[in-house]
Amino acid sequence: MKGYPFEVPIQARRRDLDAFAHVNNAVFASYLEVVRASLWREHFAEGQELDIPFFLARLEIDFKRPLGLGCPARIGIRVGRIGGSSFTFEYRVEADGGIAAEAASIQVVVDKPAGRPRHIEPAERAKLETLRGSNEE
Amino acid sequence: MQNYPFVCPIQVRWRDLDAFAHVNNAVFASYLEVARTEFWRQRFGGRSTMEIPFFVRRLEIDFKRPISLDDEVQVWLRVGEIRGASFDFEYLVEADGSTAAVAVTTLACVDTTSGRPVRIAEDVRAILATLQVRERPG
Repeated sequence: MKGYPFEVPIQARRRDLDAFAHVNNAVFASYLEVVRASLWREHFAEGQELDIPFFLARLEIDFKRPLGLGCPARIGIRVGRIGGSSFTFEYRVEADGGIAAEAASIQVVVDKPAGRPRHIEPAERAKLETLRGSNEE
Repeated sequence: MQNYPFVCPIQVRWRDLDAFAHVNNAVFASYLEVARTEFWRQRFGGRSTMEIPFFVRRLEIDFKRPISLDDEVQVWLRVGEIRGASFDFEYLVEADGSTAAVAVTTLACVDTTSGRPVRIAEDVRAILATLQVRERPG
């Protein structure tokens, strides 16, 4: 996906649909999580899937058009803003050649035992920098 | 809860938890949906949500603290801005007496055949307005 350095195809399930026969809004949040987790596994976790040193502080999703079972979705993810102790992921959900949703999430990096916010380390920052996208279409 | 005229208790399920033993972030969006559906059921009586089709256009959740299985959870609800063809629900998710999340969803009234936005019917608008809170501190 142009402008997004990492993307994952989504395997939609019948169970994801609601009474309108569209993928339910809450399920989009799970799809984003699938992509976030895949990215993390590939670029950060080094084999320890659960050792994720951030928590989700905010999630926003703009729904553009419904997703059905018929047209498989792909989701692109990129790093947006990198702050002192938090950073943003930006997502695009594409299906059938169009945009089904755009989303962003804010992650706060925490100290694992204490669970308190901590500064993003230089090595982590450098890694996040490599996953920035571009706004080219 | 002051400033939220409607409340819906939530039964936390084992299945809602993720590997961190907290309610998973996506499940918060379902809790919001339970609350607004319950509001709909109570205030619109016989008219089902299928008859008054609103679609979620935007979702924003600010997560404040995790929810555990044993927490007593309720979702507080009010109506924010009401526009021509869309309006906002504003939520506060309370767990064991403290704020676990605040959220906003924008719902758009859509003609199911054309897929186009349509103006919110006057009777629906009037009922939504009963859940608006005029004075909001902060």
